[in-house]
Amino acid sequence: MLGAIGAGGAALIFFFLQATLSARPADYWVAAPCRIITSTYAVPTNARDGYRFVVAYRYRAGGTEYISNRRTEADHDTSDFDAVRDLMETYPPGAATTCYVSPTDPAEAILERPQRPAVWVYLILLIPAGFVGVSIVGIRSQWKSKPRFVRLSDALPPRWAGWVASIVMLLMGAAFLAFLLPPIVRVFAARSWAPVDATIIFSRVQEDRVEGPTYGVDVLYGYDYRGRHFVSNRYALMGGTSTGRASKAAIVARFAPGAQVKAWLNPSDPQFAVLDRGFQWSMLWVLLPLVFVLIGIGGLISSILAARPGSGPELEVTPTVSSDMADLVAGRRLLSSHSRRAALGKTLPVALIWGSIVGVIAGITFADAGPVERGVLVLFLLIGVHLLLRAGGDLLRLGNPSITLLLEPAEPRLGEPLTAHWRFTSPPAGVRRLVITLRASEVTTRGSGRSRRTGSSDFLERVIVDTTTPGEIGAGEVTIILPPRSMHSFESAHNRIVWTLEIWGQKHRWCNIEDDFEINVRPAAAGVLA
Amino acid sequence: MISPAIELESGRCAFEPGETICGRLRWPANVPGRAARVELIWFTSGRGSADSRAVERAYIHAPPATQDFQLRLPPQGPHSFRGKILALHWAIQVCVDAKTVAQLEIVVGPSSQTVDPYEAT
Repeated sequence: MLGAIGAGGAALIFFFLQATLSARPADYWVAAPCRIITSTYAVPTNARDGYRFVVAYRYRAGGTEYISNRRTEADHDTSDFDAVRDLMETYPPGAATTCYVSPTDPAEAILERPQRPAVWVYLILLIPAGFVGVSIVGIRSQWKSKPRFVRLSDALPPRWAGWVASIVMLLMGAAFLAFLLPPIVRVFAARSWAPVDATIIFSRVQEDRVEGPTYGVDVLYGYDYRGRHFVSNRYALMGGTSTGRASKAAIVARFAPGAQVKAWLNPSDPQFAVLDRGFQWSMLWVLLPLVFVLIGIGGLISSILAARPGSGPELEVTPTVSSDMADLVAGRRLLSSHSRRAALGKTLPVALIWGSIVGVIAGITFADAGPVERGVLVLFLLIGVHLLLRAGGDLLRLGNPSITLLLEPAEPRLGEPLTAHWRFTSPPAGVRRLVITLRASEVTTRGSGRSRRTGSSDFLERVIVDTTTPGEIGAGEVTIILPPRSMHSFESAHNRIVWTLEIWGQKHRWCNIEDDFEINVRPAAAGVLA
Repeated sequence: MISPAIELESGRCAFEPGETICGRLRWPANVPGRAARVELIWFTSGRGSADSRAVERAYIHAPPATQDFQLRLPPQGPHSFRGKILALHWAIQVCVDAKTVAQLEIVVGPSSQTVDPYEAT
C-alpha cells in the first residue's frame, strides 16, 4: 500500500516534469511581424464545446504574404469566457504584434509559442512529493518497527518527520484554500455591488464528459458600464459543473437569448459580474482545506515544543547504551516509544487518500444529488473528517514530550518483581496527570491483506501508577509483582500474548500522551508456584 | 491407515515445562511396527488463524510392534493456555509417510495445569 502511494507520487512528478519541460517543434519557429485583421469569439455549437477565440492575422515570409488564424500550436476552446475576452483585448483588430513562422512551411504560423508554466505552478509537485515522503517514512517505520525492542536512538520519532508532515499539510491546505477562499470573500463583498441591466446573448446547459457527465449553467450576457461594453459568462461566484441536468436546465430557461436581466458587477473591476451573487452550498468545501491548515499549524507548534531542550533527572543508565545486548548484560532495558510515528504513518496516508477522493466526488455530485445519495456522501465525509482528526491528533502527539522507561530486570518473569523507572526526555509541561497501566492481552489475526481481521481480549489491566504530583510525573519508579499463574509473552505467526506498559499523560488543552511499551514477560521460574 | 496407540509413562497427560516425556507406540497385535516420526507439537485454536510448531522429534525404525520414545519439553514454554479468543495446546503426534496417524493431547504448564489467565489474574 505504502509502496503504491510512493510509486504513484513519483510517477505523477515524472509525467508533470516531462509534460512541462520537454521541448516542442514550435519552440524553434521564427519570429515575424504581423497585423491582426479580425479578433472575435464564437459561441459553442453544442453542449460539450466551449467558447473559441477567432483570430486572423497577416504576415510576410520569404517575400510572400500569408494569413493565419492559429493562435497556438493546438488551439482549444474553453468554458471560461474571460479567457477568450482577455485574448480579444490582447489582440485587438489592427494591432501590430509578433507571430512565429514555421521554417519548413511559411504558410504555418502561430501567435504564441508553447509557454512554460510559471515557477509557482511547480509547487503543485509538493503534493505528490508529500505522498512519496509519507511512503518512505512509512516503509522505514515498518522496517524499523519489526524488532520488538528498539534502541533509544532509533525509537525516538525523528524531529524532521513532524516538521515535514506539518509543512506538507499546511501547504496542501493553503493551496486548496487559495482556490476556494476568494469566492467566499466575494459573497460578502457582493452585497455592496451595483446592479446593471444585462442582455442575454447565449445560454445553454453545459456538459462536461471528462468528469462524468456533469452539467453547468452557461449564460453569456452583455452589459454597459460607464460607457464601455462588457461580456461575461459568469453565472455565480463559484463556477464548476456537477451531476444533475434538470436543475441547470431550469436556471437556463430563465435566461433565454435576448432577455433583459439584472447582473451584479464589482465597481472596482467592471469586467467581473455575476447573475447570482448569493451563497452556494458548494462554498462549504472551504472547510476541508481549513482542517488541513489547522492540523499543519498544530503540528508545527508541536514540533517547536518538542525541539525545546530536555531537563530533569538522569536515569542511572544514560541513553548512550549502544545495543540491546548491552542492556541485557546490565540486566536492564531501556525502552522508548516508537508507536507515535508508526501511528501517524498509518493514519495520515489513509486520511489524505480518503479525504481527497471523497472530497472530489462530493464536490462534483453533492449539489444535484438526491436525498439518499446526499446521506451517503455526508456519511463518507464524516468518516473523512474523523480520519483527518485522528491523523491530526497523531501529528500533534509527535510533539508531546517523550517518555523513557528503564526495566529491571530486562525481561521479567511471572511471579517476580519488576521495577520500572520512567523519565520524560523533555519537560512535561502541561502534563497534569500520569497513569501507567500494565495490560496483558490475547491478540489474534485471521486472513491477510484487506480481509485481515484482528481480535483482542485483555486478561489483565492493572493501574500501577496514577499520580498528579508534578515531581512524580517528571520521573519516578514503581515495583510490581507480576501475577505468577498468568500467561507469559507468546508470539506465533497469527497469535500473540502481549504484555504492555501503557503511558497515559493528561495534557492541558492539548492531545494527551498515549504511548505503549511492549515488554517480554518470561514464564515463572521453577519453584515459584510451589 | 492403521494407527498406533500412544501410551505415556504412568498414564500421565500433564507435564511441567522442561520435563522429559517417556512413552511408547503400540501397534495393533496383527500389524508389524512401522517406521514412524513422533513429534512434540504445540498448536493454537480460537478466533485467529491456526499456528503450530513441532519443537521436538523422535524417529522410530520398524519393527518391533512396541516402540519406546522420549521427548523433552522446552523449559521456557509456551504453556498450555485457554483464553477467551485464543487457546494453545500441546500434543504428541505420530507421522507415518508424512501423514499424521495418531495424536494425543497433553497439558504443559506450571503445576502441570493449563493456564487460565482470567482466573489467574
